[in-house]
Amino acid sequence: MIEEQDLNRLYRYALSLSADADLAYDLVHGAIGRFLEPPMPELEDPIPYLMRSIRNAFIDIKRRDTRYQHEVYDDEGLPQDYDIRALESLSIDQKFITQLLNQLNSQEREILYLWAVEGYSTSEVADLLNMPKGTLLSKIYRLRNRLLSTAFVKDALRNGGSYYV
Amino acid sequence: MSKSLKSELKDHYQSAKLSEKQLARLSSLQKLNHQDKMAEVEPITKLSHVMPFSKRMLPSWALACCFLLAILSFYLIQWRTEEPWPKADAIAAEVVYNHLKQRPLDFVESDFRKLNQSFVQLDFNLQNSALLDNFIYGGGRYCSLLSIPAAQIRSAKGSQGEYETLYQVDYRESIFGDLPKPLEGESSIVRYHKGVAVEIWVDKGILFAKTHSI
Repeated sequence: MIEEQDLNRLYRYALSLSADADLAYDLVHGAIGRFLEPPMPELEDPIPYLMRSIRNAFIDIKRRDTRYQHEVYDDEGLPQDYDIRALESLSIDQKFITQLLNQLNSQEREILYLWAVEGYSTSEVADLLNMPKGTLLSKIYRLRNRLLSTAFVKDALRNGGSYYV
Repeated sequence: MSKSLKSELKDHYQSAKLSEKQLARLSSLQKLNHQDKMAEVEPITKLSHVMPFSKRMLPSWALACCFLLAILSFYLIQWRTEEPWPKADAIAAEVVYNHLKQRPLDFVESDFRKLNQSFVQLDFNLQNSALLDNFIYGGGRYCSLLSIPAAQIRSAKGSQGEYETLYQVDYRESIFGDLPKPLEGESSIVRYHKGVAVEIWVDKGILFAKTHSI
């Protein structure tokens, strides 16, 4: 039996992907329905499995209107020690958070959610997103630049310090 | 005032929660499945209890009681599984929920053939059924019924804005239970939920569930 706390956790993840409360609920409902269908997988922690299921269902839905696209990024010129923690120095005023999320695509919101709410490492995010770590690092690098290009996000290290960890 | 992006994102997402109604639906979905599973497991767990008793050479009256209990359980389980149309109410509840919700259509199409071609993601073809005589197609959207991908089709609106919702889904008896098949001489069944009548039947391997405008 999946408890309320975990149901809400799955819902938030689905919300980060879809940015739509109704679709997020449908994704959770569908994932649990499929999970319970026999033969039910015997898992100690079903949450990662359900998150993958939600993600796959979301991609299936979006594929038909091509709103969710896997883009291939060029890793060239990216320092090897670049890390998802490069996002740690960014700050924002609370009143702009919804506007910011509205400007991002599904994958960018998903990366931010996994980093900020689930506390995933770069490797864990790459594993869930089923992409090479180098590709993910490129995405993070571009996402960081994209966040800073909006009027909402500031960088605490702009006057010194390093983005690389 | 600016805070770290990480902290603001965390606060933003933590404030999002499922409603009480949504939580109740997800819990009942899990309970329904749990009960089905227990019904399958029950005979095995009973056997595991019987084994130690027989090893201790219980008196014959106790063995007779166990025997009677086993027979009674067998008939009780059989009676339960023989309940006609066991999933009809769950199907009607989900159909009515989505009928009332009126989510936007994926395709607006009144021609049945073109509507059928629009549902490219489904692994079955939409079908006409003899019981759909007066249904005027208006459009459709992807949906699911008991978590199985389905076509949710909406009729064209009537003169007073009334409309009907028709579900078509690949019929799987293991999921939807036994349901009436008019071609085998059975009558379709009607279940009510939230005051809306839902007619349910199986034809050409497809489960049909249609609301009736009242």
